[in-house]
Amino acid sequence: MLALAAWHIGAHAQAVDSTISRHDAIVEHQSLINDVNELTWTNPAMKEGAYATSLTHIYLTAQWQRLTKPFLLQHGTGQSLVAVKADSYIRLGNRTAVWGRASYSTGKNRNIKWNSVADYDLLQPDVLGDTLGGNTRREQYVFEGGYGTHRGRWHLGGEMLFRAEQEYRKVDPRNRSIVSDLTLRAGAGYDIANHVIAFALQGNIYRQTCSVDFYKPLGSIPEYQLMGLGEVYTRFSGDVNDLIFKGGGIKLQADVSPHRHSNGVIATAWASQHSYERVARMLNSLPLTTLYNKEVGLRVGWKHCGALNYALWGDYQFNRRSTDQYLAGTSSSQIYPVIAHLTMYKNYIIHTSLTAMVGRNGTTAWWVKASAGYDGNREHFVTPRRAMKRGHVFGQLEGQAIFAPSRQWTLTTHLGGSYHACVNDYLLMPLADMEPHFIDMIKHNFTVLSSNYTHAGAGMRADYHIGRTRYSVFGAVRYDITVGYNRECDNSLLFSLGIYI
Amino acid sequence: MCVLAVLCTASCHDDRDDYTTIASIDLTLPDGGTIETMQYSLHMMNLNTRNTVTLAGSTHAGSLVVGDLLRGAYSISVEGVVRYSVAGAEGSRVAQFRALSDYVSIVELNKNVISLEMILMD
Repeated sequence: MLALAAWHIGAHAQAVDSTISRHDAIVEHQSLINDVNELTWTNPAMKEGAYATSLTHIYLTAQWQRLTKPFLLQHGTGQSLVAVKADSYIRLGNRTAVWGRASYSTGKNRNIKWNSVADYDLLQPDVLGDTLGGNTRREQYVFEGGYGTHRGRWHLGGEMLFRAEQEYRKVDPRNRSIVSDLTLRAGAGYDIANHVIAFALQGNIYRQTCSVDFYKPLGSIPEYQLMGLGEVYTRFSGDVNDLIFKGGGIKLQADVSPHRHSNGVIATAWASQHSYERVARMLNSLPLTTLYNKEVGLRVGWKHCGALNYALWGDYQFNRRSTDQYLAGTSSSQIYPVIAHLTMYKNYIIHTSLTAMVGRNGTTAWWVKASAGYDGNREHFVTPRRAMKRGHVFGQLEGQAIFAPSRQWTLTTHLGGSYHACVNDYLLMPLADMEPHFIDMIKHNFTVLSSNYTHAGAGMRADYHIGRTRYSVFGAVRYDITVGYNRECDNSLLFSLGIYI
Repeated sequence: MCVLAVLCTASCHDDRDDYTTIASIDLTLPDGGTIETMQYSLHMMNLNTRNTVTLAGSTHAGSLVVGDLLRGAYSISVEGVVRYSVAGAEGSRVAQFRALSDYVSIVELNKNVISLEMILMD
């Protein structure tokens, strides 16, 4: 009897302990303060020290996004996406951690125009586009895994991230894009004065094949090889519909972060260069353009852990994108030699911000984060001269609260809002030389990009810890709204449902 | 940070900013002879952008110089009227002419010389 009672108490105590520890794990992993380290934790040598608790999620998500009018024409008017995801961080003892992610998503994008390739934000403006567009279907597979350990004062880590994506349309113009994107990261760090200083090297290989077919014999429209700001590679626009994008790049990163629960300096500096070459397969693999993307970035801040935790950091990021156009010589049997190449498109993007956070972790955790900054973007096409500039000043406020109304429940609420005001804009276009649908496209996109916009979002997540087991179930809902030009809205609703241990 | 900056500049791709060049189109008469004076209308179409540069004028030399030309592949067409004299014959003759080339590579940075033979219409 006593033994049974002892086992019962022991089991109940274990169940109680496990619900408390699961609540602590949620607080540690979901807490808004983790935003301070979002850059340092991309270094696999640093990520081993990120969390003291293990947490593995397996869940389904469903997302609906609807825009009353398209913002950027190339992004469309919304999407519906369903995904199954698994997300894990597992501590293998005090010195080692492994983490990984796997997901499969499928869904639909609505009303994509002027863009027949996947990964538009990565490859723009060097894309294939047409005036018709339409809905596309999309599938994505993601596999990520990483390992980190520390021995004495040395920290080591490695990570692999793989994404495969397919985007296609079942009506004319039938585009079909297949993407594979592999990133490998390795990092090494050393303990100095209660901080970890680490370096990381990242390599990326990117491939996309893209083709557009027309099944209706009289229904084909030209597919344009776009080069930026409505400019087109005229010689190869029209029926060169079979492209390969190949590219990749490297990134070097240096990070400084204090040990867990210590005060200290948080800093990240990185520099990277990526390039993506657009090759026309049917012209004997003639390269048409290459997009170069060079980035430098810096984040410096201070984190304080005590009765009240706070953090303050500043961000700076400069991004220089440019397109080299390959000039083709004469053709003899579809073999075009490249006689020269010129940098025809240049784009400079700048992002600066200052962020402050205050709050505390614990059984009841709360955080408030405020940030303000400037985003600028200027791009131009060399000849014939086209230019577009815009700059926004923004302010952002976010709050999060995580609390346990009872032993079995954990509730997380999140509220945020931001306002972006356009402080400078400029457009220069050779309108006399442009076709009407190009003029409409540029004017619409410029109106959207140079308008003020407001964003607000609210989310709630409820976790139920199943007593006497290691499992919990959770459900989450999140609603975001962005109000842009002419009070047009972008509404987004996300549901998640899953289990975790 | 210094290491990063050095590495960045060392491995950075350089922009190709040499956009324009000069082309000199030398017109020659079919059977020898010297051009005394010429009135011409020159059209150069960039094969990659389909932009056309048009020049019209008159000259005493047989050479037309076009500056500030975007480098690339061009098709050239010249037509006009030429007064010329042939060695060993008295006086000068007048004829309409045309000179064409459907592909010329104009990519040299300093100067591009293109020789075209005139086709006399009379």
